[in-house]
Amino acid sequence: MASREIVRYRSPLRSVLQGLSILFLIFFFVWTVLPLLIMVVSSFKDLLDAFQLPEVGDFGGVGVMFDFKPTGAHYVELFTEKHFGVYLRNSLIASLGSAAVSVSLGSMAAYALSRAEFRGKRDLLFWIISTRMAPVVAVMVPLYVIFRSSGLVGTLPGLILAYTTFNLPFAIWILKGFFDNVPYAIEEAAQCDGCTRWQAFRLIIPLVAPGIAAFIVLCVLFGWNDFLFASIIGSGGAKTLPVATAELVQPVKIQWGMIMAAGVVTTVPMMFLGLLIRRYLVAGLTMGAVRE
Amino acid sequence: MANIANMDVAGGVVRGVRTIDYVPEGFNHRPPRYYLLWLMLPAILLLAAISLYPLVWLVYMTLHEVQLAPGKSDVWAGIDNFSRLATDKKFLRGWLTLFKYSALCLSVEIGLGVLVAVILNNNRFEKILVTIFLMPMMMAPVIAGFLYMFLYNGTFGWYFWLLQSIGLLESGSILGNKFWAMFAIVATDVWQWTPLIALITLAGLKRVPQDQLEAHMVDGAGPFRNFFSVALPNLYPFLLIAILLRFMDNFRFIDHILIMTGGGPANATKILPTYLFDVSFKFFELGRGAAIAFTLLLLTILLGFVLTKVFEDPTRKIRTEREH
Amino acid sequence: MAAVTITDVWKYYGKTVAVKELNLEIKNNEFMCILGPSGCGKSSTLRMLAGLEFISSGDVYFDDVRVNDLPPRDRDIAMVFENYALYPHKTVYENMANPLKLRRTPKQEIERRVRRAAEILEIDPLLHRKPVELSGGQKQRTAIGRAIVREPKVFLFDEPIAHLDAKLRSHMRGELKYLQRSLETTTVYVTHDQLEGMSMADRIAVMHEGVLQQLGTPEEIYNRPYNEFVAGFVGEPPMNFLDCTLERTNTGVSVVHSGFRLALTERQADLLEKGGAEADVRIGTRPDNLAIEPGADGALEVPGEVFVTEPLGGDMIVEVTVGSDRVMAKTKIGPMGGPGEPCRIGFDVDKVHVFDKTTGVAYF
Repeated sequence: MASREIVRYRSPLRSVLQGLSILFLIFFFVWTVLPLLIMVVSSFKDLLDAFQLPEVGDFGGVGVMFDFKPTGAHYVELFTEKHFGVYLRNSLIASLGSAAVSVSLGSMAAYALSRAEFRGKRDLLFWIISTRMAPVVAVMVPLYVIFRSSGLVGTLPGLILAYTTFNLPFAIWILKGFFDNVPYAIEEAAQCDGCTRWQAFRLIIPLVAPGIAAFIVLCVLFGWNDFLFASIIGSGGAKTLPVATAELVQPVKIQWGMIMAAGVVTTVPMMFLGLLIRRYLVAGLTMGAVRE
Repeated sequence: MANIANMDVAGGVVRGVRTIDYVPEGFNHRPPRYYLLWLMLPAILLLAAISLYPLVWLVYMTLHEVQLAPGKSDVWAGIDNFSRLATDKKFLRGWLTLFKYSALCLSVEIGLGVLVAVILNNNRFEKILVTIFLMPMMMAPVIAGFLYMFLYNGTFGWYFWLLQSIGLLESGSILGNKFWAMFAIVATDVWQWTPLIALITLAGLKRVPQDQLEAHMVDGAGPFRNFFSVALPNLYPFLLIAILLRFMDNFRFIDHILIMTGGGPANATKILPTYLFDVSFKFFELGRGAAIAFTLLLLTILLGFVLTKVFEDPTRKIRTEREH
Repeated sequence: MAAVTITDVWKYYGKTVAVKELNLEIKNNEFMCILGPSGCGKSSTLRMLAGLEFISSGDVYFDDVRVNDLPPRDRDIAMVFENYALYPHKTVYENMANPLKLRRTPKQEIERRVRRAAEILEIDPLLHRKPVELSGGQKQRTAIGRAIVREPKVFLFDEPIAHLDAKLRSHMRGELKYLQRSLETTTVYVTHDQLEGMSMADRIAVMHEGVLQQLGTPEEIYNRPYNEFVAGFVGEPPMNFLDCTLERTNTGVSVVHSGFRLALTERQADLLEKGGAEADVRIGTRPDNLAIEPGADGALEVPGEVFVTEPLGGDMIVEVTVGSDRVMAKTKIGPMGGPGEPCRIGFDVDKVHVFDKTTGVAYF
């Protein structure tokens, strides 16, 4: 639903504003992109090149940023000596597993919550959204004790369960919004056509399928980017990429080249996925309150 | 039986309808839709197991001295864990720092975000720029923390160099400075999440009713007046949602703080969740941690309550407008 | 092809009552229209017939089978929804084939029936399209197509043409009526548009506030309304209502209004006596049955004053101030003078209705 263009008349004030806004846009663009650029570039620099800076105040010398011999050594080291392949796999299993559990159970519950009217429904929804919004550290305190006594600390199933604490309420809440937008009349028509209720439910699944796929991706993203759960509950046997990256900080020296490379490895797939579900991103990140 | 009563219908144009004003005894009720319950149950049970059960545990822990070593059992502590909080300076400072941190983040993010959105709206490059701007949101906060730590580094950090070059900073360290550390962390959060505010505002701007703008222009309003008296009131629910969500995230995500300063220097960036992390998972005083966590959860519940109210009102409208 | 019997049906939503003690018999192959303003319970009635709503109390029979507890799929009905309710991800063909597929009809049979239905509805070139690529009228035809591919016992229509534009709507009225006559299937058609009911139905059931007001052929509903509600709801422009008093003299009975006096016929006087009419009544007369002529000294008996004229092309509606009230008259277009000019109107006394002032029930 694109809004129509507003007719704009020229005036000196408008020209000045336009100039200012272009300047601001350029500033914001540089501000957003520069750190990413530095991360990518630094991940290909060896130690000496990475520490090259121009003299203080020498703005002409910024070219030094690109004055280096690219090397893939950090990436190679990550995946050979630091076993990042294993952590990549852990990250994948934990985030995908939690996404699968959350969305499959969540979509059924969301459909039911969307179609049913019962006393206490508001309270139930309130509980669900509060669970999603609870601070991870606070949730982790009792969860750690429970998981410790049941031997789940340091295991992938434990981590999957931990991620499900925020992914499942997310999936229920946001998919409910999706089902709310599917007119009930379609299911009624299906029932008149001769469907059972279960068949009618299956019939409308294709209508929400793109959304469901997008929210699987978002659940993966939330799990993949988590650090707190992974560092405490996953510590040991279920180390994920963010935790492994943090462990590159060693008392003697911080291996910046490798950290930047690990950053690229962790970030690039998620950026790609983010672009893939661009349409659902804002809805997903605002719990469905805002749609584009 | 049917009888007749005098009734005013449709503004009194039509009177006199057949009405029936008794109620039969013992009519049937609609059967509850059990199949919906069965669909709901697995998710609800799982969620209860991983959120309600831990909550019960949390309450138990707040009342005990929790022992992690095997063989030792928890010691009843009554309300000791809570009463100690009242005199815990770090706890109280944690709250203050949290609010200071949130206020800084929110004001900068809202200001920048709205500005970006207004400029981007109907811009020729809107699509491509939005796509570029949302890249930082996809990054794990912990990686963002490392990245900014790298940029702030006193010997080879590009941002350190930039601040030095424009004369804001002489020497020393950004993250080691009590004054600068807070801003450094806020900047990281601003970098990651301003785009989200911009996207939310942009979505709101697209829904400012065109006819209102046009009517206002015909009435003689310029672009500024148009923005403040037509667009802004329409944006209000969107901004409210943005503020609430970002505020919650401010104490949901502390990854970058843990990496960059760990709460230092001299507790300058030790917002409450960071303090909670230290108490629980550095010193493993889980009983006291539980009490702190409990206070945080109370705030969450309060905010969640506000949020559901907000969700119910403006979003209903937003959605129904979309449908029609 | 079935007769539908509704006996003592009530519908509750929580404490609100949507349908009250409804009794209705719909004959085999009849086109029954349920007519009423929004919120009158007509849609609830239809949805109870479809099995989409639980019947709170009472029984519904298709022929001799009680269907109260049957789910929609076992009732052998076909329904067309107000918003069409097409499956957006399926093509027109797949939409229409769905009910057949669910009943495990052989593929060739499905193909044959869908093609035939599409031909009847003239949508055969659109079979491969998705609903988003269709106009409102085409969507509506597809929804009807989905209903007629089967040979159900009953067709249920829930305001199927309410969202079309006026021109298409009048076209579809004719088509739907023709379709129903040629398919010979019992049809229940719900609408708030009295024109649809009058033009298509064999019989009309007028509902208001959950209560059946009158059941009859369009002719009966129009010419012999049971009460003021029915009289005012049916007909366009609506009937004129005027508060009058009865004057009984030894020569007969007349109604007296501040602007005129009208002598009733002997038959009408008898009916009033039989009904025990009190002195205060309301009379109603349709704009078509009012004669009007311009000027102060015409032959018609009642003097009036033009309030406004609304030309409609061939006809025009004239609002006339008579005494302390205003009435509408419909006449052929012609010179009529501007607002404030005098005119004269005449009542067709045979077509005047008299209603009880308190209950609204018609004496005739």
